[in-house]
Amino acid sequence: MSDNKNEYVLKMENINKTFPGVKALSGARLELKYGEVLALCGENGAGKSTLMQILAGVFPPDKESGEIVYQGKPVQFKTPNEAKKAGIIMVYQELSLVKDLSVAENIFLGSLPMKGKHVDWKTLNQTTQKALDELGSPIRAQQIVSSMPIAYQQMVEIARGIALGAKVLILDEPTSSLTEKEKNSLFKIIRLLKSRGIGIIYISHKMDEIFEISDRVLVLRDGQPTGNFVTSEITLDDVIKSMIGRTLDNYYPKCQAKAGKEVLRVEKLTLSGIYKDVSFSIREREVVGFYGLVGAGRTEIMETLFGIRKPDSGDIYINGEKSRIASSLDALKNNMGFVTENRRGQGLVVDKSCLENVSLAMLPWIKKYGMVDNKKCLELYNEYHDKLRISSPGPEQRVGFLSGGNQQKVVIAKWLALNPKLLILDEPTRGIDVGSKAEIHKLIAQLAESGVAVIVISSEMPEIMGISNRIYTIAQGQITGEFSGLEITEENMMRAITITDSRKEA
Amino acid sequence: MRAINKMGVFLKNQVIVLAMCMIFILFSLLSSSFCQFNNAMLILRQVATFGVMGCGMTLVIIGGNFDLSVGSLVSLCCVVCVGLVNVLGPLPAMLIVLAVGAVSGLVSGFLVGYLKLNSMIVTLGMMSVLQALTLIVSNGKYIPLRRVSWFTALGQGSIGVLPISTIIMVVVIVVFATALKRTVFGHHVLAVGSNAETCRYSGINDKRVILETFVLSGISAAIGAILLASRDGAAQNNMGMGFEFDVITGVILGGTNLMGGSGNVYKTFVGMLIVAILKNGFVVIGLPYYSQWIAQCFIMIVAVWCANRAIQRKGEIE
Ligand SMILES: Nc1ncnc2c1ncn2[C@@H]1O[C@H](COP(=O)(O)OP(=O)(O)OP(=O)(O)O)[C@@H](O)[C@H]1O
Ligand SMILES: [Mg+2]
Repeated sequence: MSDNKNEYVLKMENINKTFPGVKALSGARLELKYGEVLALCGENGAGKSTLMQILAGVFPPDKESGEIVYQGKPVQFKTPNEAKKAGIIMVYQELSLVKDLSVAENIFLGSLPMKGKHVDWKTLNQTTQKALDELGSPIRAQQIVSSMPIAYQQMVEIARGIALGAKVLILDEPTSSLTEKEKNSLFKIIRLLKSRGIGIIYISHKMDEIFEISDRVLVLRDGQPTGNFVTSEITLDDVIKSMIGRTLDNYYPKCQAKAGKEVLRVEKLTLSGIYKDVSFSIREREVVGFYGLVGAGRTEIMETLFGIRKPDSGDIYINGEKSRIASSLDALKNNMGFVTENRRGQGLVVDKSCLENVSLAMLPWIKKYGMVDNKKCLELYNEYHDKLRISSPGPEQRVGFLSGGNQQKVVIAKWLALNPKLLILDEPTRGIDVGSKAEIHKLIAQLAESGVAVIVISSEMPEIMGISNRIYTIAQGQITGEFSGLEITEENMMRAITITDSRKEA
Repeated sequence: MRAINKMGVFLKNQVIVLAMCMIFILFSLLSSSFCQFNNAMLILRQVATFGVMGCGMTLVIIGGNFDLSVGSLVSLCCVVCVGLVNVLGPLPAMLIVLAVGAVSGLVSGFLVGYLKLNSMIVTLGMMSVLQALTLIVSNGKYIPLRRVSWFTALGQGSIGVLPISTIIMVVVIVVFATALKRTVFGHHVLAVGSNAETCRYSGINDKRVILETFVLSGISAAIGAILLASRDGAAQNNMGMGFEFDVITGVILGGTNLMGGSGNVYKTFVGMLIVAILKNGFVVIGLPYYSQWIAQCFIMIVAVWCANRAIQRKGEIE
């Protein structure tokens, strides 16, 4: 096999795919060379994941489609396993490891090395460790997957691909739950694999990453290819224009209104081992950002405000009154909303319809004689479907069938429909395309201006700096700084999130 | 083209009804005494108890649990019911029986919902407890109904050709079906069964929802027991023995997802009818009594197998 740098490892031509009610792909095409990183861009629902799933044998393209040529031969993989065996490895948007098995078992799942009738554990663990070491990863082969952070699980998926002899590696939004540091080590791995001649397809909504890592950019829009660029020859605006058909002017609109009276105040909230002495407050018409590394305790603090966790000590004041929030129902009664970080686990009921998901939290408030008010539900769904530009064939579509970004929009719609006075958004733009991201930022500013108090958690520095009126930094479960106005600088915040126990603000 | 598609979807949704019709026709061909008016009425009277019990069980299974205690609960309720009708008269007796059912459901529901114990184990334990209580209450004796009253009409009487028990069953089914499809509570049960975690973050008290499904299962078992006691005009320790098996078989045949999250009360009823027709048919064509148990186990396995296939197919689309 000649791994010549200028040869194509993969060519897909004129790929079509129709789902009931949706034309996901029409005439998509893609070319990938050995040792090349191809970025795949497009709005939510543009068909990126679908194109990759067709390649990986998850489902077949429509009959009237062109060819897929892999390593010089036309192929059509019927199952993901076939594709895997041939060397096409996909790391999904939603990870797919078996949580209760060890790393090694996961990597060789389905092809465990045998010694006679028994699994050859020694070979298994040694080969795995070698593969992991080569990637420069600190993971041990015998570790159980569920005990590891997402970044490591992802590394395991990549290692699995390499152990299987990958020629093409597909990464579908790999950095959406990684910290900066983890991202850098992922990029190191990508560069290593690239130098070994593996072709990599990289799907992401983060433009800076695309410009950092890719050699070429392929843009899809409504399932059609609208751009095919050499990365070094283009600008961000070129990509955005071919993605959404126009350029964006203001990514980060700020709430300009003057903050009103206090909505929430937290005093010395403590949950041992997770966060300590957390005090902060937020007012009407204010966007307050919480910035910190993944795992700093931001999510847990918000879960406490929302009644999911019980604090060991500390008080919560809502509109100046001391309140006890023992469940999310209490939180809802206090006009709070919470867009959670993990959308499949805590945000959505994936096998129910969009309509049911949007109205889930609201039912008790709009019931008529205990009955669900279907008309009202539909009205609200339509309102937010338009406002957030959710791309779905209809209210009855199962949420699980929507693209990742549109699922996120459904979660946001669920909470907006409740007209909260205090809205907590935990990583609200994860997996959302640049266009919609700007829309959501605009929406946050508008909400705040209309009198809502908004808390935003984000690990993206530009986002949090761009939209917040005030920012609290958190490190290791403690608030390490508070910044507003001109104090909001990259330097200040970086310093504050790396402060450790000994030196924190009084 | 669209019309054909729609037709296809409709048929796929109604496959259980078709299956029932086919079984009915099959038995009619096998035995001339099967498709008789009297036999049909017999089946209707037999299915009344199961039809009612299936309603509660459907909710429990949609919530992602099982209630194995309903059979013993029927025994206990029958014994209590007949005993109290003899002493207090029908109305107070029936109210107390409903309360017994609700309390039993409350206990299982609390253990499963709030303490997060496995429902199989909890209700298996409840099953023994209830059996023991039945024996204590009845002293191990057969209790005949001593006073003649309107109570016997519930299970034995009819309005026109329709047995009263059938009418009661239909009312219960309609109430449960409406509750599941249209009320906030029903939507909550469906959502909790699919993803309790999301519900917990969305202002839904998932523990309480689970508890309520068990309470309703207990109450529906109590109603079933009243119909049964009235029909038989007497009560015995083992009246409800094995009922949980029949009821769960019917619910599964009706297409309720064993993992929770979806199900339909009307289809459960069709499932119950299938079980009843099969049982009756086996007798009519002269199969020995105990071989029915084997046959029924076979049906259960086929039903679960079909359900699994359906789930797998769904997985493929995703
Ligand atoms: N299994 C499915 N059944 C029905 N429709 C589907 C299915 N999978 C995807 N779709 C639809 O196909 C379209 C393309 O979806 P796809 O997941 O490929 O988008 P994407 O480009 O990956 O978006 P995102 O950036 O949000 O992940 C969407 O409109 C989606 O709703
Ligand atoms: Mg996608």
